[in-house]
Amino acid sequence: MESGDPVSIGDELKTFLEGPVSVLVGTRDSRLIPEITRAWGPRVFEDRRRISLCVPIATSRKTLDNLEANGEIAVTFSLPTNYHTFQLKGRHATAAEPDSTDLQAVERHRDAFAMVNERLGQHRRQVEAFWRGEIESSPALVKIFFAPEQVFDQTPGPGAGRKL
Amino acid sequence: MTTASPPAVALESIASCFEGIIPASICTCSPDGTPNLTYLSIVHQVDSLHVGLSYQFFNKTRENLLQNPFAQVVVVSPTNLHQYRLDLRYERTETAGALFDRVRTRLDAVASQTGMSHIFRLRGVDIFQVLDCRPMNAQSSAEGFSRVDYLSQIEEFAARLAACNGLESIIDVTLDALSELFGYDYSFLMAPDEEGKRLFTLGSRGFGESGIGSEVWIGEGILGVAAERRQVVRTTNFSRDVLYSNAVRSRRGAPWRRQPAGTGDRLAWAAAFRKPARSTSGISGQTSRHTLPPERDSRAVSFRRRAGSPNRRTPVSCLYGPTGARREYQTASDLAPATDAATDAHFNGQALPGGRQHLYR
Repeated sequence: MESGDPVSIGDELKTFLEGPVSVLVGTRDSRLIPEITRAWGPRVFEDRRRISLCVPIATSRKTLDNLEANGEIAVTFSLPTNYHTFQLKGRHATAAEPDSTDLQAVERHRDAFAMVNERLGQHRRQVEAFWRGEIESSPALVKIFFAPEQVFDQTPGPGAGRKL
Repeated sequence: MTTASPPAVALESIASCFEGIIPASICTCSPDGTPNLTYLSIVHQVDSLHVGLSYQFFNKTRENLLQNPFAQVVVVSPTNLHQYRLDLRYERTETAGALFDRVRTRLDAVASQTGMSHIFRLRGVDIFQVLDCRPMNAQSSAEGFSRVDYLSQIEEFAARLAACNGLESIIDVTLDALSELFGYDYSFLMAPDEEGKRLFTLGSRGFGESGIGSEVWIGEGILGVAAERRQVVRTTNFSRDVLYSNAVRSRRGAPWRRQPAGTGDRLAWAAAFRKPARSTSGISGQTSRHTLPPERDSRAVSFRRRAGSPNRRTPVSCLYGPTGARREYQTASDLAPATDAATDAHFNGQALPGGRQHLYR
């Protein structure tokens, strides 16, 4: 990835990223083999340059290993009601233990995500299966934070991938 | 992950993940080590060791794959929302053949239905070897493989058809049997007109009014494209197809445009039917629609099966646009009320403003 400074996240994008979006994290290992995991509770820091999210440890061991090894990260945020999607990329992602504020953000995010999917015809208990399955063997979450250096409009179509 | 051993989870055991009901995601990696993550509307199962992804636009995912063939896809079961990781290696791109035709017809049919034929064009189907498939959470269990045996129902159906003594009774027996034997409570049967340009309804089941005589242009909409191409079209989550099309349109500012009607010179008949994606699905109101390949000198049938859930919606079935004073839908937001209105008008025996013909989707 081209070197770059952290981007500043504006109000509109902040609202989107912290909304009822589907959040996926992409990383890669030393052989450049990719790994995906689902994340919850995205928060934009007050400095508007860093983002944190939480991943279940049970589903994210490879992701966490990858981040420890190289820090390269791509996170995609997509709103289920209209497929509007943004992808943020950074190079120095690190992991930490979540605090109570992070866990509250996870709960708010899950609740909002379930509500928006109910509008699409999915029962709440079915949406809850997303995260219940992820924490079935371990309830532990790990916080990831990074400073995005690139932001892309990933909304489907021929223009997907346009750098902002 | 370069092993050639079978995936930990057989693709056949998670077949519902490949119906396009819940979007999938794909992560690739550029040679400089930057991951790229994006969503997919559908992953096609090719066989027990391969999947296919449609190639419509050249994007970062494709750029990465051409330089680094490894990818990971996450698919989601609509039955229980279990998530599965598929480790993939890009093998080749098919630009012709049965798989390509099947994917292209489905894409074209949905594009025609949503007014996006000028945007969506299948360039190829990228074929990937599945190196592994496993639950996202190793503690999760895979779906059980369920095979439904319809042999006895087909035998009964054949016996009923054999006892028919004319076209009218064949129509009635067919539509009744679809409901009684196979659970397709919503259906309609269509035939081509003398010029082979339109299909018109001969009979239906499950609607307030029969809709007999209503029409669809061959080459337009899901039914029309399936009839023209003589291909099965299966749509499993049309509401998401519309959302997807709207998302593309919102970024392009594309106008709502209709396709010219097909000539239909090669068409003889087509058949289509709709049913719930899975009776156990947690997604209410989702129906799948099958449009069968047409055969010469025959008839077109459309069915849809009543969902088992008490929360089911009444599927939208019909369409828009009278000929003569044909209405142009300029925005995506026109579509839903227009289709609902057309559905109601059609099955209440009413004409849309400006003309007498209704086009199904």
